[in-house]
Order: sequence, then C-alpha cells, then structure tokens
Amino acid sequence: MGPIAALFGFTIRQTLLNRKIGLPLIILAAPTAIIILIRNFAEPLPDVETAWRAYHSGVQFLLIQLLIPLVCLIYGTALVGADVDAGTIVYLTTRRMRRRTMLLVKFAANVLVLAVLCDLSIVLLHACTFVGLDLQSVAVLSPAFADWNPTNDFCYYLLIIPAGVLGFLAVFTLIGLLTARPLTLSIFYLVTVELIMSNIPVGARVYSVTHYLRVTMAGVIPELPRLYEMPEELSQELYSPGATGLPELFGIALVALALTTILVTVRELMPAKVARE
Amino acid sequence: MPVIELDNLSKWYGEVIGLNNVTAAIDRGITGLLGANGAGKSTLMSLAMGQLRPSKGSIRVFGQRVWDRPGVLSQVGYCPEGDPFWPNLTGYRFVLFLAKTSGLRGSAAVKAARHAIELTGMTEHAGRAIRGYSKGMRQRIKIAQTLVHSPKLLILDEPFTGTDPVARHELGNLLRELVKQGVDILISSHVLHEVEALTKQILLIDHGRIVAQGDLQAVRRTMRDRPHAIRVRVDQPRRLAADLAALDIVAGLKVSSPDTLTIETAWPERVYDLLPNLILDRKLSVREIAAADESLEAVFDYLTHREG
Repeated sequence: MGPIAALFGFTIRQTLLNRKIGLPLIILAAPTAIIILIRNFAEPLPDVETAWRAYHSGVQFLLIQLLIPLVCLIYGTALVGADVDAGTIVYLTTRRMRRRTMLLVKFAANVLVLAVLCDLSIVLLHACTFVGLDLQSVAVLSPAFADWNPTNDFCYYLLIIPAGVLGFLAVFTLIGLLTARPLTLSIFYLVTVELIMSNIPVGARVYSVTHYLRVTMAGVIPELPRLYEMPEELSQELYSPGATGLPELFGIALVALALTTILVTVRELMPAKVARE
Repeated sequence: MPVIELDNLSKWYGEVIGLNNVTAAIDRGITGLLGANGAGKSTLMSLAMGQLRPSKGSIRVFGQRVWDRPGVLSQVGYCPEGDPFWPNLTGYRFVLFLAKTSGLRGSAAVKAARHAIELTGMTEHAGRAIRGYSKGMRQRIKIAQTLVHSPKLLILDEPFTGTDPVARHELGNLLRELVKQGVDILISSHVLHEVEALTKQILLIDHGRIVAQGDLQAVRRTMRDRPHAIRVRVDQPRRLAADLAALDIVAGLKVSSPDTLTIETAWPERVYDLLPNLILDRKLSVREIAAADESLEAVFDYLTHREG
C-alpha cells in the first residue's frame, strides 16, 4: 500500500494546492452567487413553489447538467495529460507501480476531491437559498408544497452528486487519453451528449451520465420531473418513484475506466516533442 | 550477463527514425552514450525505461523486458532530460514523494531522501520550491531522485547539462563512488569530454545507428586528425592565447569576442589538463571552459564519412 497511499495523498495535495483550482471553485460557486443576487436584488420569493423551483433549477440545470461536468472535464482531461505534458509522468511510470494502478489511484484521488468540492457547492447553495427564509409563512400560498422539507432533498443531492462526479470524471478521463486534442472532443461530448441528447425525448439520452443522475434523483425526489417540462406520459415512462439509475451510471464509469486502463497500459505516455527529441 | 541488451532494436516516429536496427550489449560499470542532439540517445534511454515501445526488436534490462514492469524498473534510477518537475514542490518533498512511490515507508523514506539530497549537495536548498531553482540545482535534485531508492542501475540522460564545473566534478566523483559500490551506469552526453572524464566505455550513436562502440581511446584514435574546438571565457583571452600559441598541441587560436578564446586542437584531453595550471599561473579569471563543438555533430559526420 505504500506507493499507492503516497500517490493518493500526493494527488490530493497537488490538486488542492494547484493554482488552477481557482477556476473550478469559481465555477462551482456560480449557482450560489446567482441565488445571492436574486435574494438581494429581486423580489422576495413569493411562495414555496418558487423557492422549490429556484433551488432545484440551480442544482439540476446549472450544477448537475453544466458546471459539475465542466469541472470534471477540466480535471478528467488533465488527469494523465497534465503529467504527460509536464514530463512528470516518467516518475510515476518508472516506480513500484503498474500503469493501471497509477491511473486508478490518481482517478480515485480526483473523485474524492471533486466530490467534496461539488458537495460543498450544494451546501453553499442550500444555505444561501434557505437561510432566513420562513418557509412556513409562504407555504399557505402553495398548499401542494406545504410538506416540503428542503433538508431531505439536500441530503439526497449530497449522496447522489459524488456518483455523478464518478461518471463524468471517468468519461472525460477516457476522452483525455483517446486523442491528442482532448479538450475539443470533451467540449463536443459535453454539448451534444450531456446538454442536448439528455434533454430530448429520444433513446440516445441513455448514453448520457446526466440521464441516469436524473433517474436516480427523481426516484428519491418524486416531484423533480416537473422541472423538466416534458409530456406527462414520457415523464412517467422515464422517471418513476423509487427507481435508480446508479447501476447504469456505475456501468458507464466502469466501462470508461476499463478502456482508460487499457489505453494507459498500451500507450506511450510521452510528450510529442520529447518523443521526437 | 549484460546490464542492458538491445536486439535488432528499432524505433520509428511515423516516418522519422529514432533508432535503426541497433544490436548492442551494455556491460557493467559506466557506459557513456554519446551522440549529437537528435541522434537517438534519449530514444534509447526511454526504451530502456519502458517509456517507449520498440517498433521492432527488443530491449532487456537485467535480462527482462521493461514495458510496464515495475519489478525491473524499480531497480533502475532514471534521470530524464529536460525539466520534468512539479514546480510547486520543494526539492525535499519531490525526492521524498519519489522515495515513497519506490516502496520506502515512513522514517526509511525520510532518511533515504535526506541522504540522496546530501549526496548531490542540495541539502541547503532542499526546503525551497523547485520553481526557484537554477538549471544546475534542478539537475542535481533530479539526480537525487534517481539515487533515493538505491537502484542497481542508473540511466542518466544528459545529467551534466547546466551544471557548473564544481558540481560537474562532484557529480563525477559521486558516480565513480557508486560504481565502486556495484551500481552500473548508462550516461548520455553530447559532450565527449564530460563522458571521457568518467569512463572509457562508450556507445557512439548517430542518426539512430551505432557508429562506434567500445573503448574510447580506440574511437578517438580513429578521429585523431580532426581538430576539436575548446571555448574558454576568460578576462584576458589574448594573454592566454599568447601562452597557448607556443604549444605544439594547439592547432589554432581565435579570439572570437572580448572575453572568449576558441582553441583548436587534436589533443583536447591534454589541453584540458594544461589549462588550469596556465590560468592559475597567470591569475586569470575564468567563467567557462567548454567544448565549442559541443554537439559533436562534426565528429559524427567525420565517422560516418569514414565508414562510407
């Protein structure tokens, strides 16, 4: 366990101390900033349903569908690529560790860091949305939401979002090793699969991580499909209380990781300019 | 058994040839791998460290294939060329981390890291971030990480680049001491004189082919009639030139700038021996003594021409 623990700790430390961490922190704080602006400069939230919509829209459409994948894109494409570009990969592939072990340890460390950061983003968003808001006084205007307990939804999000981080990071790590221009392909994937395909009522949505996250979240928060504004019949077909998309999501992550370990084992991980002297 | 065996080894980068059908055995002790920039030295070393896959043939270290074989690779200390660093780390953290990834734990890793840093004369600077290091300090901390896990074989890619003469001398002594302790070394350089000070066993490589192999003296005899150029940066180059002009081993002298003298000679090792005494006698202030034709490309052209 010695070399593995050393690399795991080192990766976490490098991720947190890297100057580039400012960008993901800003990205993940964006929904909170928007809520703060709304609460300070817009009309007070008139009823519970509006508060419910504002909160879940922030989590669903900003964080889960866009910002968390974006942060995973940044870290996933650089998981091996950053060390390859800097030439430091040579230190990791010539020590007492197989290449696949090196990849999986770095991956696990990144999942941990990003899951904590993303959960922290949810904590901030939740606090800024509900601190000082008297839900009981506005509940009478929205009888359907009178029993809504935001803390339950918050806890579900805290548990499910790390699974999303795992899925997104696995996919972007794979893309990072597939091509010499991983950023272009990753952005293409993010836009077409996670942003477009996951939102249109076609079978292709099953290829997106976002879809399985939604299935899982709708399984524990049954009111959630109201946000997606799709025909009732389709909504019932896709999302049902108690359902989970986690097995499929873990399947995607597993397949992506398996392919990535194969690539990392068979490919030369050398910066092009060094390889050609 | 040879330490490294190359068997019909070729490496192509698309249409560019890195190594071309090389067969050789690198024996125990220090072996100098000489060649101009782009000759194939780093390709050979990267193949030996399992960083590149052979396009054809095979390479074995301690009799074993190396690709993704941590068992073999962990017996080797590798000093890559260039500046591959995590620049925010201190020198100590860098060496300690690599000690731990080599399987050393706790206090053993700390002790090994401190020892390796001390061996390379970096103790004083080990607490500073690598991003603030000079080129020479970076080279030394890279060498420290090659030593930290007490490897049986060192593969050093241009380790002297950027080091000052004192550091070069100290590193040379360190490498000689390691060989006495049973460590084998493959060291690359494009400066003949650097390697000559360490070993007589060389592998001369050019355009991916081995053009000479074996005892350095024998190789040198084949190119005795070709003058070598030595560049001396000194405060009074004309005064030094006047002294050197009297020597029959000097074929030509040129003061190429107010502080630079270029010496042409067929006997560079004798000139290198003489220069320190001349400089001390005249109380001159020297900033650099280096091979002017550092790339040795002319030497390889010469050897290639001779072969053709």
